[in-house]
Amino acid sequence: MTTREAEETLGVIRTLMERSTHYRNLSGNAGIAAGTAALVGGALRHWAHTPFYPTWMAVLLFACGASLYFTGEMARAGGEPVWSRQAQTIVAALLPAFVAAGVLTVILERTGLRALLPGVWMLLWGVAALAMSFFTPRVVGLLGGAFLVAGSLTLLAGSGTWSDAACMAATFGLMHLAYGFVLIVLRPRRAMMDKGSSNDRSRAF
Amino acid sequence: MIDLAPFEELDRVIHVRGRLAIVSLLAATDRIAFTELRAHLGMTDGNLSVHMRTLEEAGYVIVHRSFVGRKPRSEYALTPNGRTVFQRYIQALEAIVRESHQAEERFREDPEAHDNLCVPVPQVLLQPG
Repeated sequence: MTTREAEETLGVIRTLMERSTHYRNLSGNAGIAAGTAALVGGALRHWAHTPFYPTWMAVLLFACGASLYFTGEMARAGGEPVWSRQAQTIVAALLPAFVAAGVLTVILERTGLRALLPGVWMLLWGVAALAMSFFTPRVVGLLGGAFLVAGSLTLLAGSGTWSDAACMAATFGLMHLAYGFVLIVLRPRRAMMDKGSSNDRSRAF
Repeated sequence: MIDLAPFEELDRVIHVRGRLAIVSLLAATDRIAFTELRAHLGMTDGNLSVHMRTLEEAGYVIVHRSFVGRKPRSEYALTPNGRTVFQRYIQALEAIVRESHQAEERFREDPEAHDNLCVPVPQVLLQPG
């Protein structure tokens, strides 16, 4: 074994150890369902003037339900438990931002600053996605970064610049649709790359 | 002289490339399902089963069997002994790299005192993977 081989082996071991903590059951369909729900919510708020909280809570519940359903479906198809080790890691990464979003929603509502909520939700969903991105494909990190930028711009523009219907449809709607399509397109390629890189790794040993 | 002790520390069971990959994946987690290992490594069921049996017989890996619905599910975890052996393997590789860099350094400083940097390769490293 040469020094270079020893160094390469150490690098491959490091890569394998990192990869084993990655979550592989993210569903593009869940992104599309969540994006569609946000677009419908925005349309209802804009044209049917449905109430603020019931509309967005319904969108949130539908998006969470769709994510659970499609993720569970993928896990079962792969013979894995839905509540797997990686799934628990993902939930643990998401939880702090969700709790913060809940607390801030109550506080901003009480202080009459409801107009800031869409920007705050974007910002915290961006934080959640970035936390999740350590254990997921790179597209989740891009989604998180995009939400972080969108949330910051929305809050910096000031309350009332854009309606909640427009903000939520443009970000939670369109960005999730784009994310869903990217995941669907990437999955077959990723499966092939996984197989290819596994062979590369074996050769590296 | 280059210290050969790190080479002797390389465990024969996990030095085989397939088993080293399996142990690397297991070392980062509590346990991994057979299907997940197969997906990560691109091995056939038969090949992976043979490696897992070897690791089990060496006492490096333990298997937990259960059912998800009607499907049987096997999850593997490193035993404390397996984890120790893996850590020693990593340390041995690091020592090889370190030793080699130090030998190169000594050679650069005094080429005539170290006219031959080649070292005999221990038998463990010559076994097919």
